[in-house]
Amino acid sequence: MSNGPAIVTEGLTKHYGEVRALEDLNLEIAQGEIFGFLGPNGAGKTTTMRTILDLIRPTSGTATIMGLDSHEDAVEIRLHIGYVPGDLAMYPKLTGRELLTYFANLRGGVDWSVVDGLATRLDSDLSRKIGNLSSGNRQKVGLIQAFMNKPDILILDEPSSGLDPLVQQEFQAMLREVASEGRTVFLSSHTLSEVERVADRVAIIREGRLAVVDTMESLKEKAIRKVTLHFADPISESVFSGVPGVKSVSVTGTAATVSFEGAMSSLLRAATDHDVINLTSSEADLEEIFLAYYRGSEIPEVIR
Amino acid sequence: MLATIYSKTIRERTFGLLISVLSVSAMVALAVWVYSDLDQVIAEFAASFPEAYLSAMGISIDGTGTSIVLGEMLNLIAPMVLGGLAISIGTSAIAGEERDNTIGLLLSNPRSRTTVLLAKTRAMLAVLAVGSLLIWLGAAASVALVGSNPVALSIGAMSVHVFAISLFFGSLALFIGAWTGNAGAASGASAGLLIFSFLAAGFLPLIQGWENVAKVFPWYYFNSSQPLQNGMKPGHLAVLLGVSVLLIGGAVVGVNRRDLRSGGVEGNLLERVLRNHPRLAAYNEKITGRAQVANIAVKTLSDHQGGGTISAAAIFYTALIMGPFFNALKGVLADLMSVMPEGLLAIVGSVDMSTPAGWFHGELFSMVVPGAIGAITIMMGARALAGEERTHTMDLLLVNPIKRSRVVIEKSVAILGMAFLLGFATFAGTAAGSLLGGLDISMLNIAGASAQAFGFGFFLGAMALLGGALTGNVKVAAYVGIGVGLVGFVIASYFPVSANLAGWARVSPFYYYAENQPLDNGISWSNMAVLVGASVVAIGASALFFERRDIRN
Repeated sequence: MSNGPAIVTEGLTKHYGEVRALEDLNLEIAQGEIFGFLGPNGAGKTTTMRTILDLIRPTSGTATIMGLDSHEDAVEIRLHIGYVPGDLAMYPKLTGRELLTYFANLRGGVDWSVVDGLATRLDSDLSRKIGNLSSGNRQKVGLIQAFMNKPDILILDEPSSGLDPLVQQEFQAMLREVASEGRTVFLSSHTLSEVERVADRVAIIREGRLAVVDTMESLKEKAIRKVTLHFADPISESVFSGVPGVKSVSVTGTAATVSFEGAMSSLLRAATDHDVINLTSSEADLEEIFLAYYRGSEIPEVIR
Repeated sequence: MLATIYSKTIRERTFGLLISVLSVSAMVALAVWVYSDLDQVIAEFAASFPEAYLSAMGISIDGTGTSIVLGEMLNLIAPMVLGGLAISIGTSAIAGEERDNTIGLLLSNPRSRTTVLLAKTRAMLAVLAVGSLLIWLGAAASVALVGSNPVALSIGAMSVHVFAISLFFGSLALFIGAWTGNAGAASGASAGLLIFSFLAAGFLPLIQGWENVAKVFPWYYFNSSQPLQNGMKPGHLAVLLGVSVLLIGGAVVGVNRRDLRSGGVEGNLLERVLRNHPRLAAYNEKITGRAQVANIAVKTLSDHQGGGTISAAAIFYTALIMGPFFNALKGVLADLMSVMPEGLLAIVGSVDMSTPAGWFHGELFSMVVPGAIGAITIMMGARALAGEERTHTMDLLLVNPIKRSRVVIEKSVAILGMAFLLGFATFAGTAAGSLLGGLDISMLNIAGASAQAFGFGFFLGAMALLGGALTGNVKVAAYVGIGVGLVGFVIASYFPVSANLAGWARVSPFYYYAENQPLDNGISWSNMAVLVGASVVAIGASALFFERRDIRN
């Protein structure tokens, strides 16, 4: 095992005939990082994860985990992996405890006090048959099997689907604990608030191609924000012309709404030449950022 | 095709229907072609044939090899195949939707439970009608193509009877599924009755004083009137169709009277027995709890313990009663064998059924044992890899630190284990039946025959495994196993009677299973080596193919 990046993909490509599920994906996820992986349905998130896990084979490109080749060293890699598939299916006739025993036998090195601790935290009844559990309770068992051997890397595809808000909170705490221990989380989720809360960096994938990779802070900084300024007297749009970062201006009487990106100092300098009565500003809406990528244009209007 | 529940059901069943009909038609064509050469031999022999035996075998003879082989195919293979398809449709109609957790979604549409059930029933009727029609056309075309001229054969009437008996069993599965919501119970009980009633309707008329007992079994109304020779029997058809209508009506009542399930599961067979017994409950955890998930092989065996237990019990019970049956029939059998030509004997494996070993071979080892073992091992093989992909559990299994080849090998060990257990049940039942009837069959030879049955079952399971490893598709995998078994049966049964084709019988696994008549001659180690060796090759190929392809999701 290397001390380098936890996961690296280089030119990872997967085609199904004419369908280009994944195209030249280059990712690097550091150890100890919680890496959010976002994209609309069918964007290639699950294909990426299944390729990294050697469940499907890339058309071209490579993936390495802790420096090990995802195909050649698949068995060695899986000693260090915890995985929750997006379409989580388990053996319905087994109880939760039997299922965990099965995987613990195959995996080795499972401390049952850890299993019991996870079951308590997630309020999971392991004595019931999987087939008789609700989808949320099945998901809890799926999470326990991924976390139970304290893996170095967790690959989680929509892990919180079906969980109630309380359990979601507990799950997010578990993710933060994993990262604080230097372990890595590769997290695909449609729950943007969850990603916003826990992820260090985020990648957005669309139509099999990587649209952006950045930290949460940077994405927010780059986002276009709207500021509404109220003046004592009616003003002209020309007040803001030529101000760096300003994208558009809309004036209604004494109020001006300005869309801009970057630092606010130049905007404030231009505004304070006049009699400013009030200023309201909203932080960039993360959901809007992602939706702009999801919706389609190559370079979203709200982010440059 | 998805406009209605009816058309969706039809579409889902079209592939299975075509495979079933093509398989039956191919077997009929092959058998008719081989047997058409024997028309003259059998014509001379026809007059001396005891009727009772023909009734038991479901064979009718009117003077030609063609008619004999058609009787075998249409009296046995066609209703088994089409009846199996009907049971599958009947089971899926309500209980299958509950098992798959799709019933809620379906009934959230503005359709009543009755409407859904009747739409699916209409689809079953249509599939069976088309299936019967195609079997009729296939059989008629086969006869016409070989230029044979069977005397007054009513293939059409036979096909109508095939439709009626298939509908009966499909309706029974529908009824049980509608009342219980348990797909396993619906298909298991219906398939069990199909097999049992075939055996009972064949044997009971041979026993003095028991002739009328056969009338409680549906199979009696299917072919006791010999529709292939005598045309349709309206009274018998009325019984089968009338009871089917009652079962469908009962299903409508049943599905409207209970809470529908939502994908929940019951414990497996052994677990239910243990759990409900106070003294045995303590052993429940040991046998059905963590022990069953010790490794992939043990878990796979455990997954199939219900089917395996039923199959083992059926083999044991059938073998057990064969001993006393032989004593009841040995006079008739001796008369029959003294006049039977070699060509006809090939149908029952070219054995002298007037001897205890020959009787067991002809009645138990020729079809029942390989059929019962093969059904389970093929199911295991088909589900081993492709089944885990279909249920989306393969991803979770393979992210454990194990090679794909280990999964293949452990699954193969489970198939081998099941084949061994069923082989042992064959040995135990046959040995007990022989002792019960006071028959003098060598225990070593019984062990040898049972061992070859084990090898045969293992091979069919390995072939289904290979189909699954190649495609990840359960249906294709099952059809590979079933196809190898059925075509192998036809080849091994009929090719030996033709001088030109006899050598080709060696391509059939049935040849290596029974060619040496192990109950008489003991085990053939070379035949065992071929069966086990071919199985190992198939497993090796499975590992190779499975390693190289994407896992389906």
